[in-house]
Amino acid sequence: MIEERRERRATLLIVLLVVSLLLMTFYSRESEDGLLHRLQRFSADLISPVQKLVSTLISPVRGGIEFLSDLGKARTERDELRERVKLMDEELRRLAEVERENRQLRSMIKVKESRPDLELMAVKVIGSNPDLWEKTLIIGAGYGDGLKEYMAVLSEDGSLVGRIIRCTADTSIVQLITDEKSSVGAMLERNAEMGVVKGDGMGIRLELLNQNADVKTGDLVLTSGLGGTCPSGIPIGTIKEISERRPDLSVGIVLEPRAAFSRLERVMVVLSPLPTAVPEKGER
Amino acid sequence: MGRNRWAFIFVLLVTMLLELAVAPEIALGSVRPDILLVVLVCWALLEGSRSGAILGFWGGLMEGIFTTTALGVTAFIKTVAGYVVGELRRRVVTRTVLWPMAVVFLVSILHEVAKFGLWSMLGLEGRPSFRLGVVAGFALYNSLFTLLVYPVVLRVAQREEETFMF
Repeated sequence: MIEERRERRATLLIVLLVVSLLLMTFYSRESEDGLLHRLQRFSADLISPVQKLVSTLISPVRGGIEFLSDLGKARTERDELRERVKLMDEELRRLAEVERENRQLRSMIKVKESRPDLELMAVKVIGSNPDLWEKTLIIGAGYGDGLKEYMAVLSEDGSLVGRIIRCTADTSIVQLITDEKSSVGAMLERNAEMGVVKGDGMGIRLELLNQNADVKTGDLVLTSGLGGTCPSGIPIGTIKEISERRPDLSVGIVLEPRAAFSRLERVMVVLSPLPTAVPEKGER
Repeated sequence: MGRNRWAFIFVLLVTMLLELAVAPEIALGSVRPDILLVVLVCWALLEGSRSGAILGFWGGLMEGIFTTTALGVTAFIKTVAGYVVGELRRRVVTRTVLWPMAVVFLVSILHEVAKFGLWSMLGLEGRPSFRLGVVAGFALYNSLFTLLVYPVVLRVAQREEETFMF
């Protein structure tokens, strides 16, 4: 019985293989227009709509498989891109820095062009005084660079920042006009009324010599040149607030400084004309 | 042919549909699985040489008809594959999926070698050059695909057996 089955299986195998061999022989010998070739072409037409449909249905799965196969490559690319982004970020920061410097320098050149009577020197701000009560800056040039005490210091747009109160070989300390010990001879641009701009630790205020002077908010206040430390015509600030007359008949005038003290990166020191007078002790 | 003709036809048709429409869509690079070969090995391991040879013949024939390969070549190879793998059923008794995976891997390599051999014998013009790396990838892909196919074929074969037992 088992033997018979084995024989039947072997016979079946032989029959199937012979049929296959015959098909192979006919197929390889017939021309492109032969029966078997035409059958193949017809079948391809028959199956192609199904293949298209399956292709459409399976495309999300294929996308997923492609995604998985690309994952390793994507990781490497991601790391490379991260590195490049980091480098480009650094480059962007550097360029932004250069652009800002460029803007500052252009602004300084403009000031130099508008004030040919002044010899100016651009100096980098390297720090500020940590003391709560002293409003000073440290700049990166000293007497070794030609700086002297009491020289006026301007911002990049040419507004008054303060004056040098101490010099070392390579650095100088600049007293800001907002410092309580600071006082600068000033005048109103509109009508040349004279006065003194004093710091109060937080801001600046103007004290006019003429108590009946015509003064309005928005008026620009310039240095008068009196006092000998600061050249005339340098903008200090604009009048922000005028209070009632005080009992001593003086008028409280609050100024908005023109220089942006919170973001000073470079300043200009007025090398010439040199200060002609030294402020009195306790007033500097 | 078998105890349940309908189950056989169902397996054959579904496999052909998957082979012709799905397999090209899940190719990894230049390697695509031969779903028909995977099903054939699993089926032959469960159903024996007679059923394996018949499935191999009809499957290979339909594959030849619906593709542009030389007709009869795949029918010949798959008939032999189905028969030989079916003979293994009587010699190895195991239910682990690792066994069909190993058989699929080996049969896949032999399948491609035999295909190239027959193409050479027939003197077919413009046949591709044999690349071992592609064949190894093909065998590996088929082998991994067995993990999905074997449990399904096992279930169909068991159901067929239950129908017969009833």
